[in-house]
Amino acid sequence: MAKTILIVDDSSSLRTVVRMALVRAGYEVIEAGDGKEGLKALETAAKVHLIVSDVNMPNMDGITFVSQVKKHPRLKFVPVIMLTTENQDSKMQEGRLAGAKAWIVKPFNPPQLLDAVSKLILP
Amino acid sequence: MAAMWVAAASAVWTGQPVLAACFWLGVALTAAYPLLRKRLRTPPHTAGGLGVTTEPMPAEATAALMQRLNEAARTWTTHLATAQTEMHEATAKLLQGFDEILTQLDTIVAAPEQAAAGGVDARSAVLEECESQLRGLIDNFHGFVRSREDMMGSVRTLSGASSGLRDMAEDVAKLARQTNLLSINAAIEAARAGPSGRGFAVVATEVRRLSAESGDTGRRISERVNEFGAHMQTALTQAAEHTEADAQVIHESEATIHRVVGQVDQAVTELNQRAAELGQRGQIVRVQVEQLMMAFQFQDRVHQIVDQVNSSIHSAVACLQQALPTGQTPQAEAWRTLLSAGYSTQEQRAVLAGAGARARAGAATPAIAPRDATGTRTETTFF
Repeated sequence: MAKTILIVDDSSSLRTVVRMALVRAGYEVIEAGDGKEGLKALETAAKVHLIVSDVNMPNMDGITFVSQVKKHPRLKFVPVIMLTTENQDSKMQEGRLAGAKAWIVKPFNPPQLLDAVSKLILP
Repeated sequence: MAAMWVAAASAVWTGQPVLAACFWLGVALTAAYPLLRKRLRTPPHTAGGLGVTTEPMPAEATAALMQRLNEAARTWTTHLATAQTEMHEATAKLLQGFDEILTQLDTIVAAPEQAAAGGVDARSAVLEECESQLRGLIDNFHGFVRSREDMMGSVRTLSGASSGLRDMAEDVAKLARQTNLLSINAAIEAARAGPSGRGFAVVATEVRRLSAESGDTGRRISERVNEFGAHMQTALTQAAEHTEADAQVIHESEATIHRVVGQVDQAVTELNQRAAELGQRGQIVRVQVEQLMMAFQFQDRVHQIVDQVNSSIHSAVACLQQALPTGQTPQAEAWRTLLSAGYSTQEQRAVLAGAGARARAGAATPAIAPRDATGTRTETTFF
């Protein structure tokens, strides 16, 4: 059975290219446009094996979103990959402290993302 | 200040309309800022440092200037929003189109791949089946020929038997002749016996008549047997000719079947090769389309840069509007901080540092993180 990955990004074009890379690798994908939508999607989804999230988003940014996920008893073990244009160490530290497991700076290439996904995704 | 915007222009100048719009907005801000500085009448000793309030502008002029700033900010941000929306919609359509192309390509590429998976075995199996069925037809022809040869064998046997019948007919004729001689002798002896031999003469006459009839019957039998023999010989001759013709036809049919199967095999092989080639080319196109789609990530970066510029315009105008009534120039450091608020990319920060040229160069060559052949960073930081 295919594993499910949640993509959280306010850019629909970015979501499309991420979805394309993941679906072609055999994963199922659900999408959300910001952190708030991401939390709602996690509440309604049966099981999410991994999250790929942007950092700079309206309504709820990626760091806050990850913090909320890590506070959730059912979701706190879901690994999170931050996929963002941010490459400052301070931001990466914020992401790490919030609970992210990996940090990829956009633009990404599919093998790079798939490598991180395969290393982190829940069994 | 001007250098900063020139650096920004050179850093973002990639031929993209939205980035070009950012550049021209930068140019406009660059042009506006010295004017405002002049209006604010910054004393020489405060240049690049702390602002000092001197001779505030008349309230009417200040209000007019603030209005112009508002108008400019509104116009710039509206243009930026329009450019953002257009680029977003166009990118979404392009991505959707590419996605559909990929779906179609998957269908095209999958068929030859599936065919190639068991293609050779399937092809040889079908051809063997065809050849087997066609050879079955030839075997049937062989069967017909054998049946006819068997029949003709029977006819030859019958022909041999007819020869025996002819001999027997000849024997009958010989017996009839001998019987006739006996009847003649009997008639002579009956005549010599006189009246007492009359009855015997009648018998001798009847015997002679019967022997003559027997001779005729034997002759007719012989004639019929000869006729049958001639017919059978004709049939045997014709059968021999047909057998030879049939053998030739069968031989030619076998050659034709072999040739046709070979031609079909060659045609199917060529078709398979072309399908495989098509699949390979489709695979190449698919990879290229995927790479093109990945390249559309620029839209996200441009979106963030333009968003920051949009926000920066609002902040800068608000700051200048606050400064106008007091005549106090914003501090250089505070001004840079204000303009750089919300930076998220390395290129933006490089611009802030006045290193536009380096940022531009860094975008094309490895500087911060490893990149692949397409210039995409390949580094992932695991925590």
